Amino acid sequence: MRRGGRDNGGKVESGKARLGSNEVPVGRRLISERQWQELERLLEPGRVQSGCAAPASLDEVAAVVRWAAANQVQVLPGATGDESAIGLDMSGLRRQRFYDPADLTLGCDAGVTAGEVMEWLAAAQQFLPLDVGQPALSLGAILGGHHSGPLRHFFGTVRDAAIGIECVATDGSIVHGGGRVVKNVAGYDLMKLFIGSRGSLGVITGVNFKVSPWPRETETVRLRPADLDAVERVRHWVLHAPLRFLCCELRSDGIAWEVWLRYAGSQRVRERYRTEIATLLPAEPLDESVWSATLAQATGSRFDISVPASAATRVLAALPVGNTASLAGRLGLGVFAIQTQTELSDAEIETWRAVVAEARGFLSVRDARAMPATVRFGAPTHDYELMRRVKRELDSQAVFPDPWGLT
Amino acid sequence: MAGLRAQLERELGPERVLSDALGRMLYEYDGGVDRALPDLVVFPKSREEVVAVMCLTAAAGVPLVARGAGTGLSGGALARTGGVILSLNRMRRVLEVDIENGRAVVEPGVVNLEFSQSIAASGFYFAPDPSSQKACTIGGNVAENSGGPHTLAYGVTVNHVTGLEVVLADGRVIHTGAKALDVPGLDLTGTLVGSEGTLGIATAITLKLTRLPEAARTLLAIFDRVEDAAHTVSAITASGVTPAALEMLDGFSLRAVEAATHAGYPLDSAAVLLIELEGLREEVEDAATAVEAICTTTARSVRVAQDAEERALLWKGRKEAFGAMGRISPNYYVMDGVIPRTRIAEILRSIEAISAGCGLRIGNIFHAGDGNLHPLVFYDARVAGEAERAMRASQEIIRACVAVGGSISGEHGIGMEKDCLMPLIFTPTDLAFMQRLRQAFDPAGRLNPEKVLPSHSCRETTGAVVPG
Repeated sequence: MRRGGRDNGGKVESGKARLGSNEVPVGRRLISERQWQELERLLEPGRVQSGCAAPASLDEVAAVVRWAAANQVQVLPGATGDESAIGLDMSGLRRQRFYDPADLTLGCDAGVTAGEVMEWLAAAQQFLPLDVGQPALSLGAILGGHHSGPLRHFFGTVRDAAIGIECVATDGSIVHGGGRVVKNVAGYDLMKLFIGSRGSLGVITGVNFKVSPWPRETETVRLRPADLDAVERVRHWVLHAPLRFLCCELRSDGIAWEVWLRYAGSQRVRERYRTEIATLLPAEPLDESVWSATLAQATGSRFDISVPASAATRVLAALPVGNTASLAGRLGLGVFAIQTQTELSDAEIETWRAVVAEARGFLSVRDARAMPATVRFGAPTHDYELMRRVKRELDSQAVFPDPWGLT
Repeated sequence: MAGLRAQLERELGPERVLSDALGRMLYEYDGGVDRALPDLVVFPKSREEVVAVMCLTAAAGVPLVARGAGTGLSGGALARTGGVILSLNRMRRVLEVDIENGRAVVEPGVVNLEFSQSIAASGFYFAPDPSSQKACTIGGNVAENSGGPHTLAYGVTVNHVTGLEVVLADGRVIHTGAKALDVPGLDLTGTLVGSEGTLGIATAITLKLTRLPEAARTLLAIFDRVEDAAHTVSAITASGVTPAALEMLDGFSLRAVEAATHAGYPLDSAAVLLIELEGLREEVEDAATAVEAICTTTARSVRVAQDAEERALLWKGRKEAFGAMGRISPNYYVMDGVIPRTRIAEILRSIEAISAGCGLRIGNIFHAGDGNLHPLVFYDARVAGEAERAMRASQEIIRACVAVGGSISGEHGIGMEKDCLMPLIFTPTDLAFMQRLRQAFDPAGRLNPEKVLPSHSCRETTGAVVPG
């Protein structure tokens, strides 16, 4: 059984969800039996099933993309396929290519998971900001979706850490950007281009990072601001304080608000943090293990919201919190993930989006259900024409998905 | 060109269109060694005027090259194939300072250091600090993805730009990014930063502002052997302490710098490390103790700046180092290469061998903490053949950087200096992909032509090395 999407433990999205449509896209045809057989011959036995190819090497990824281009079949990196598109399971590419702890650099295949990377680095007291709440998520998925976690507050995201990238382009060619040194301005920054591109320009097959030393002693406290006005006072204080928090996280269960502050340093440094925080609000110590908890699985709809940080509490106050199951986000950066209790209609999504847009922010929907790109990401803004040109130029074979409805 | 000149004069006024030979000669060079004379230089004061210039030059099919303060070192702001230079240094308004969101919006001609000084009272600043920050513009920083000593801790320009207003080659104005993060769609902001004016021209830049540190401490570690200094860089990197800056000067360079700046560098040492630690007062004290302990195992001595004045003096030596070199040599060529930080001692030995081989002195002043070398090749252009030997030596250094897994530029950019060296680190497929990206932005290839990607003059260059 090779056709149709399959449940892959939530690690990949269904092809239809990625496409945002229930129909075979215009210009696409159903994959024929002969084409399936051709594809099977390109890979090791057993690596094509349920609409998904699982290449075991870079060359096999390139072969799948070339096959797709020749057969006008869409390739969905990190997703399962359907009758007209082939999903690409990258879990067969999970080598550590190099790791130089003394230089603080690491190179990996894109199929390596966040958990594996963190384990490798922890041995040398180093890390990457891959705390996305899903240790099983692959680097390719994290880069493609530009996922981030609480450590973004201080350390940024993979966008800030990636120093080199390897991708398979629309014609099956292998393309590199950057390199393996921590500072490099040679050539166009393909890392930035591919990170967050959601597989629309090519298949990310490898990435090089600059990694960071992990502080030996960290500490976390919880504040319980009474309301959103109090949350805003915390945000303002964090912005202007000389303290350099590792994380400044807003959490809510839809009823109460909590701010988790994480910091690092010697005993006397942490004492300084505790003293300063005490001038703001009472703080309760939290066990450091709270940061490694896996995020709860989705029940309703999931939204990603980003707004200018000072507008965050105003936006959150205007959202229909009654339906919020959970909220987690970077209070100091204005970036939040909101999980609702029930799945929202397109009209309800637009209502939320209007509130966010008024604050000059952005709302994206991460539902697995099918929906048009305009609902998922909002109406195109005026740099979409340029994005369309980039998409058409770099994916001239129209092999890769079009998550923003550019073409 | 006469017709275009007349059109531009009608649009901007004759006083803002430079066409006489003498005036244009001022725009024939930047801070590097290349030369290229533009046909015209124009000075727009607004986005609308940039659009007008873009449209007029597009209609005439004439190349357009954006230029900030002209402090670049790779010929990025030179009109290599002739055409019009668009000097943006009259667009120098700070459009908005939004401290509550940690953002500011500036025009491209705003000078880097002036901007940071103008907002210092708020407790924030713009972190990238190229050595030329007294003169260089933020538009130029965006074009080159500029770094500087403190990028070791804070990152380069692309880490501090969240949005752009850009005039494209066809005259359309687009806005990429925003004050908010995670804008849906492709990261065009990140793609445009560092594109050296080949993809579009930024007319407004949204900056991320950084909180000024509560405390800073500067240490000068003095070494009797260059290798000890190099190994100390690795030891500090591996220790888990991230200095805000970690700079190295070799003995030859520091003596030249000391003669010019009187920064207090010891004249009899083989190398010094200038180490800056920033952060919370207690954090800085802890880090200083740790770094001092590391340094004292190999250094002759470690000096800690006792006050702001002494700290400023130590930095004066570093920031004005390149200028000081004019005292010891009629000409010098500043190189820019990057290596893994664990290979510093090895590459310095290679540079010494290259120096001996070409018979020219080579000094080293560089951002050791991130492996970003700036070898200075000294020569006298009046002596027949010396300039050519200097160029050859420089290329040998770059090849040596690539051989140990490095890159051909850490912060100066490719420009017209190194386009022919791009195949050393990128395959033909990589370069073809980048060319397609360029075409998506500028199909006619009219913006800053023959820069970044290998030009027609590079056909003889071979030997691509694949990174990663």
